[in-house]
Amino acid sequence: MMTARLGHYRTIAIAAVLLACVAGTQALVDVYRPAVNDEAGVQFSGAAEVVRGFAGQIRGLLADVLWLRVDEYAHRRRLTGGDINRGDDEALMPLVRLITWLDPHYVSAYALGGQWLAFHFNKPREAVIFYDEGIRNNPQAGELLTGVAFVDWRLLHDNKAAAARVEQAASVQGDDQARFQALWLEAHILLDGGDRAGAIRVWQRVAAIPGYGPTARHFLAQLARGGAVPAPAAAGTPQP
Amino acid sequence: MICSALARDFHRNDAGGDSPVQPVISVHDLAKRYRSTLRSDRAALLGLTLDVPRGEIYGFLGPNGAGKTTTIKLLLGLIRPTGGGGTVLGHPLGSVDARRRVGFLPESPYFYEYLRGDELLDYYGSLFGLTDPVRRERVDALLRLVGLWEQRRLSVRKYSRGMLQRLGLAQALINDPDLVILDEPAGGLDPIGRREMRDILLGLRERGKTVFLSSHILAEVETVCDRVAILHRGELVTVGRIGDLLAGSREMELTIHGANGSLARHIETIPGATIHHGMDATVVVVPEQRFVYPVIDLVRESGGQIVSLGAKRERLEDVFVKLVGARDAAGGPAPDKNGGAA
Amino acid sequence: MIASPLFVISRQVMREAWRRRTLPVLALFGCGIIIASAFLSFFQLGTEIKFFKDVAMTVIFLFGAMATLVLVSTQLSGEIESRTIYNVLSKPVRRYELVLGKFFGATAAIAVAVAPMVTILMFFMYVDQGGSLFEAVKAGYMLWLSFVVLSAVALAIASFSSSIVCAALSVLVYVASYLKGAVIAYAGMVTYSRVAAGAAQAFYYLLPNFENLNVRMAVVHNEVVPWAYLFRTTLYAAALSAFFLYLGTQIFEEREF
Repeated sequence: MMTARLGHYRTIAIAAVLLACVAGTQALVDVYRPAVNDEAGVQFSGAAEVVRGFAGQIRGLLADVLWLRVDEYAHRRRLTGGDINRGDDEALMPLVRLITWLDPHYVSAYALGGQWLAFHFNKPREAVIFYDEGIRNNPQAGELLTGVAFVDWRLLHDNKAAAARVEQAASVQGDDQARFQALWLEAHILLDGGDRAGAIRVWQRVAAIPGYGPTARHFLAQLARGGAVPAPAAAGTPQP
Repeated sequence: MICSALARDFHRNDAGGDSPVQPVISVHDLAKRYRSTLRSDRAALLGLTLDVPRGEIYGFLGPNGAGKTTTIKLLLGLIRPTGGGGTVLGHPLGSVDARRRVGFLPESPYFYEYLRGDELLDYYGSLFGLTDPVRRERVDALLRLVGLWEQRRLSVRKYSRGMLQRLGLAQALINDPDLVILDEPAGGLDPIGRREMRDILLGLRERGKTVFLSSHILAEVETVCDRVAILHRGELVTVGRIGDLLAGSREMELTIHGANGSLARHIETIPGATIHHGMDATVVVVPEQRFVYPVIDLVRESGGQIVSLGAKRERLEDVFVKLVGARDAAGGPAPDKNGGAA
Repeated sequence: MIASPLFVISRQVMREAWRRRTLPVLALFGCGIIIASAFLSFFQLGTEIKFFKDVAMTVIFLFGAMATLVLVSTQLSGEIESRTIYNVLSKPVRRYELVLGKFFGATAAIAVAVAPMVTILMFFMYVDQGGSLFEAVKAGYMLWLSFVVLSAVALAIASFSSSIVCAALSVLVYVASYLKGAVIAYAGMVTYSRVAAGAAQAFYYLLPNFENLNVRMAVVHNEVVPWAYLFRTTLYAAALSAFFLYLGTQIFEEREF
């Protein structure tokens, strides 16, 4: 009986050692988690954790399937309260929220959600908060930076903040065309805010982008003459 | 490092623990109680003490629930004893070293249905660490021995009950064991199959192997076994050589024609005498020879005719039923048939 | 060469996995779905490949997990229920050799089942220039590691339960492991007690965390999985598997048949 009891103690001791190894290696993994896991510094709410937990390994696919729905709602037009342009906006935001919980790298969802909050639900400050969350999770997403810049500029009339956002967008864009568009927007925001000199400096930077020299010189010439320069439009915003 | 240690352990030579004179199986006070959450413990085996000599075919008998399969499982380490202990081939019960030299055929054997007959034997041979050439040779030889050579490439799913039994015997012999434990080996076999099984067992004995055989078919046990042990309600009732168990009968049997009612009344006065009325004859059995003469006188007086007279030939079944029946009637242990263990 | 019982049993498990056709059928279905999804184009240009990669990784995960549960839950429990275990344990096979042999055989069989699905994923990624193939291999390896851990958990449960209960409990453990983060979050939200928070933290460290082995985003979003992370998660999976296998072998050692 003594031998049996010693055997049980030995079993428990070995199990405890193995469990300690599990805890230790978990701690080792935690050190590297932000570098590779999609949680990359994301602060999820309790509800988000539960949703992500239940979705498990298939949350990426779930996000894609929900995006199909969002895409459908965003493009479907029906008469809602007499407004043909409204679409299925009410159905859209909860889905967008879910998508960003499931996949915080879903830039398209943040972009569309921010736009809808700002220009369809008339909630620009909430839109900026939503955009900021997307930018925190995806610092290289120029699309989100230009999107929030539009909101700051057109709805919140904060040209300085808008210009800073677009400047940041230009710095993260790897594509010449995307960088051009970001700088073009920045120039117009500065001009709209009365900073003509700033706008000129930006166009001079555009001139350095291969292939966009003539365009930059054209707008510099207009600025030199004191003329108005047409502003670019944000994708998807309702046109006056 | 772990792999080499495992390999060393697996191929360790059996340096000790077994000698030619030591019993192949030796258990003392072996007991097994099963815990029951709602009721009291159930005792499957109560202090079994037994020695199985080397080179014999040893019969292990008992009614259903006597503890035969429990004993076999204890020998093989499939379950653990709650009391007592023992050795198999000089090694502790259920040890790997013991099992290396034991072959086992379970009752109603089940095998992997997706394997072919030869693949199955090859697999079990691999578990004993047999090399490829040895394994191939043994598989072929055993398939021929048990009469499954033609069906060796069929999947086990297609085997009949009898074929499974034969395959079971083959896998029990794959390692050329020193001890073969068979639980109901004749189950599912036709008379020819049983005859072949018997020949195989006798062949094993000739080669110096020991066979530990549990069976309900007492006629087969009587033909094949050298020694039997009878178990009842977890206890050993008797053990001895077949000849000794059957030789103790002193009964005399008389076959009579023309017996009448008065004869029966008078016979009933003889202690221990029994009378059986058949279609053509009446059979009288008396416990001892001295009671024969009064019966002869009674027959003559009643006008009957004695057709035959001789010692009553007892079968193992008779011994078995008598012993077990007496214990059942008494609700407990009954005296051994010979007045003591063999 | 003489093989140890552990190797013999492993080889037998692989043979059974393919003879019973469960794994080949699941692998075939998985490959078929991945190939079919490569030709779906519901999305605008640029997101098609993301959708395909999500589908492929999900299919590999689902079918791999299914294959793991079906295979492992029937190994030990199935042997006991079908009574073929008598023929094995009456041979010179130690009980831990049986458990470990089942484990190594199952993980090898699952690797063989998952490999074609990963290969098809890599092929279409190569054709569509949809990211690093090497990261896809890493993600496939990590998925296989999660199946290895799941096998160990299932075998530990199988050491004392029937095959159906084993499969059900294994799924429960798998799902519960994903809710660990939620438990921690709610513990932090609803209580100021250090004891409760500590208990939640212990819960986090001591139960399987399959999320460690989820690097699907690396493939989908074209990130790089560092070798150091791969190494550490391999250690984690090894420690976790060792723990559950040890539990399983100890329970199985005491079991009577």
